[in-house]
Order: sequence, then C-alpha cells, then structure tokens
Amino acid sequence: MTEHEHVGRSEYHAEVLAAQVEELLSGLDDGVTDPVYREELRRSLKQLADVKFALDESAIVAITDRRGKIRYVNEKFCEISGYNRGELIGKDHRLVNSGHHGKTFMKELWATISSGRVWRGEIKNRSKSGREYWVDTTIVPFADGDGQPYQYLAIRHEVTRLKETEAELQSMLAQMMQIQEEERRRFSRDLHDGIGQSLFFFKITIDRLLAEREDEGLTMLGQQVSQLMSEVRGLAWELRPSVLDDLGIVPALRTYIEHFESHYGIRVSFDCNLKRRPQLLAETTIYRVVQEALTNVGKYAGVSEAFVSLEEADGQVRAVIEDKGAGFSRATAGSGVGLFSMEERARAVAGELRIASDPGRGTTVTLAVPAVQA
Amino acid sequence: MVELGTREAIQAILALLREEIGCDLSAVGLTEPASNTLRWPVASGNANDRLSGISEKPGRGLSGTVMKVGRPMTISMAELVYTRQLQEYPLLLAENLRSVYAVPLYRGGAPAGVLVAGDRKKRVYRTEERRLIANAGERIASLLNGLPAARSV
Repeated sequence: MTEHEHVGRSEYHAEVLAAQVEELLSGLDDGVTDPVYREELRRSLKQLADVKFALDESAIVAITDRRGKIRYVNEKFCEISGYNRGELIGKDHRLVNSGHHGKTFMKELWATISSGRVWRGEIKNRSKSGREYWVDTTIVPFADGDGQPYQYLAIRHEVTRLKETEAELQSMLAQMMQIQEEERRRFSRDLHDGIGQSLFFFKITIDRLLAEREDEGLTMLGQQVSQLMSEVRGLAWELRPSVLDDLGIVPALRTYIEHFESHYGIRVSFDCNLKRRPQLLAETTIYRVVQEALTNVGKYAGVSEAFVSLEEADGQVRAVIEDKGAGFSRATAGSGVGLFSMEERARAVAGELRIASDPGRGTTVTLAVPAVQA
Repeated sequence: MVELGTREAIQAILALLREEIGCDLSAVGLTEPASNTLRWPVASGNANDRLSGISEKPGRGLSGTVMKVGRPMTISMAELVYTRQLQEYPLLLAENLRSVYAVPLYRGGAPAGVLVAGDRKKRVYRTEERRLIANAGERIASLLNGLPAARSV
C-alpha cells in the first residue's frame, strides 16, 4: 500500500486493484451518516478486501492500462519475474517476454482483449535472471461507460512443471516409437536371415533327397517348407520391410501399396516426384503414416479407390493420403490409437500432420516433414 | 482357375443358397496352387467389385482359421474388432458383413477353399441354415473335383 498512501480520497484511482478499500473503511463513520447503509457498505468493502487478499495469495496478478503499461503488480508477480515493483510499473509486458510466441500470437491476444473479450491461454515468459516460466493466463478487460476497455486485469498461474512434463512425455513417446522401430528392424532381420535362411537350407536338403529318389511324403514336406518360408518372409516384411532401409521410402511404399491393393481389393493411385531420399527417420515416419492411413481406408472408408502422393517442395516432403469414402468426425473417430500415433510420429521428426474429414465426404491425411533434419 | 462351365454351375448354387437361407452374400474362395493366396473367383450378391481384387495371404484370416482347422466356423465383425483381427478379413470389410458362416471346401483330402454365407446385419445361423450351407459346400467341392454334383437338389 505504501506508494498509494498519499492518494487523496476525492481522487478516483481506478488503476490499482481495490487500493482505497482500507482508506474508505476507516472513513466510513464520517462519510456515511445512514447507519444501515454504512453497515452494508462496510461489509461489502470488507468482502472486496478479502477477495483481493485471496487472489493475491493464489495468483500472479497484474493490471495494465489500455496501452499495455503496467500499473499494478502483486507480490507473486514480483517473485516469479524477479523484478521489483519499481522496475515493473510503467513498463509493458515486453520486459518479461521470452520471445517464444510469434507476432501473430500477440496480435491475436490484443485483438481479443481490446474488443472487450476475455483472453485465455498459456504464455512463456522470462524472468530477470533469465529463467523461463510458463503461465496459464486469463486477461479480463475492464470497460468504461462506453464499453471501451480502459484497463486489463491479468490473472496468471505458473504451469512450468506441467509444461515440462508435457514436453518430457512427448520426448518419451518419440523415443518409444524409435525403440519400437529398432526392435522391429532387428526382429525382421533375425527372421529373414536366421529362421528364413535355415528353412532355405532345409528346403535344399529336401530337394537333394528328392533328386535321388521320388517320395510322395517328401514332396509334401518340401511344399510345406516352401509355404513356411513364404510365411516367415511375409512376417519379416510386415514387421519392417528391409527395402525401407536398403532402397528407401519410394520402393518400400510401392511394395506396400501393391500388397494393400491385393489384400483389401482397393486400387491405389500412387504419384511420386521424390528425387532424393529423405533422412531415414523421416522415411520411417512417412512409411508408417501412409500405412496407418491406408489401413484406415481399408477398414472404414468403404471405397474401392484411394490416392497417395509423395512430393518434395519448399524443403518439405509432403505425403497425402486421400479417399472419397465414408469420412468421420473427431467425435465418432472411436478409441483407436491410430490418429494419435500418426500425430505423435509427425511431431517426433518436427513434422506436421493434418487430417481433413467429414462424414460422407472422404478423408485427406496430409503429412509434411522437413526434407533435411534441422 | 475355374472353368467357365464350372463357374456357371457354382454361380447357380450360390444364388440358390442365397434364396434358401435369405443371406446377403454367398461367395467361394479358392487358394491359388502356387502362391497359396486365397482369391474370390465366384460370388453372388456382392455390393461392389472389390472382391475380385482381393488376394489374401496364406495363414491369415479365413485361410488361417476355417481352412487350417478344416471345419465350419461362425465369424462376427464385432468379435474381430474386439480381437483386433478385422484387417485380416478383407471380405468382411469389402462387403461390410456383420455375420459370416464359412465352410471349408475339400479338394482331394485337403481344404482348398472356403464357401462363405454372409449378412450385412447381425445374424445367427440356425442349424437348418448351417446344414444348407454345408450342402452347398459339398456340391461346389464335387464340381471343383470334376465329379458330378453328388447330392443335387
């Protein structure tokens, strides 16, 4: 209260939150003659003071004028930002700006509050010592008689731990998918080079025996071993096609699409203008996203045709998987992990995934990943 | 894979079966000799042409169940969704079948294909209906084996 003690009672001071409450309370006996009215006023003022106390205890509070200059900050604001009150009053929030949010973000914020609407969101700030912190923020514009905002009340809560946990979770997911992919690669190789190879020798032995003498049972056995070999090869391919590592995304997708077409009876037109291989992580992401999206087409779209395209433009590889089938809305998308895992995979390679779909109007999945990892 | 005359005869059996038990689709799947993949050369009541493009890998889906076990089976889409196996039954996906009754077709001593009766809504196939499907299966198997249909209607 110290810096406001000199403010006269007659001077209307709107810029500080409930600054005059105590003064008004102590002057009630002289100022208001009606005892009933005075009692109600006292109670209301007391409640206002209590609410302000509770707010200051729980939240980071700041008030700015219409131009964004800070007029009031509470103790918690000073604590978290590392600035004392004198350093903050009269400055604007650029003082604690971390530079994390772009111009459009700030524009959108100001457009909202200057038109009198409440803004809610999460903001990353930087303290005097350089520590970055996240605050969950609600900004409430206070309007004058004409409905024009004359000041803004910002109430914030620190959510840095939450944000950090979120980021950790995301990086864990990315690592988990990476580990899963490595395991699949290893299993696939082991199946192909280990069991697959042994079966091959087995088949050669049977063929050699058959060359010496005809035997119906042995012929049958040979056929069964051939069958087993092709099942093992199929399994290895499904886990992770070695062609993806050896020859890259385009031949791998061509083979996948061939298998997809004959499995589901759905024709897929595949357009591709890739001239060089993206880096391996991006290739894996593209492969898995196309696989997931096409599987969804096979299971839910109810079409006999689908479209896949792969192109490089503006330093990005774009994969588009499209159908003109049943479509879906997020609400009816079910509980599968498909959509979620596609989004996470894209994020893990600094890419972006967009899904456009409406019931009855088909689905388009667009994946964009940087052609070269930053 | 199936000679023209035989195909027409099978087609007739499939159409009759649909009438007899009032199912939406009846289809015959046969494994290709070389690759052992399961294809659907003859069908009756199919909603689109996806069926003809389907070629199922050996050891999966119907060839991993009905044909491997060698006995008739009931298949429901709900159960396949629950056990996450739906993608291994492209026939159900292509024709949007909720319930299916499938019997193996024997050629020589071994299962060489499957006869499927399916419906786009949930259905329980009664004993009498199952018998009719099995009968149709036997007649189709005889045709495939180049024998005169053993028990003609």
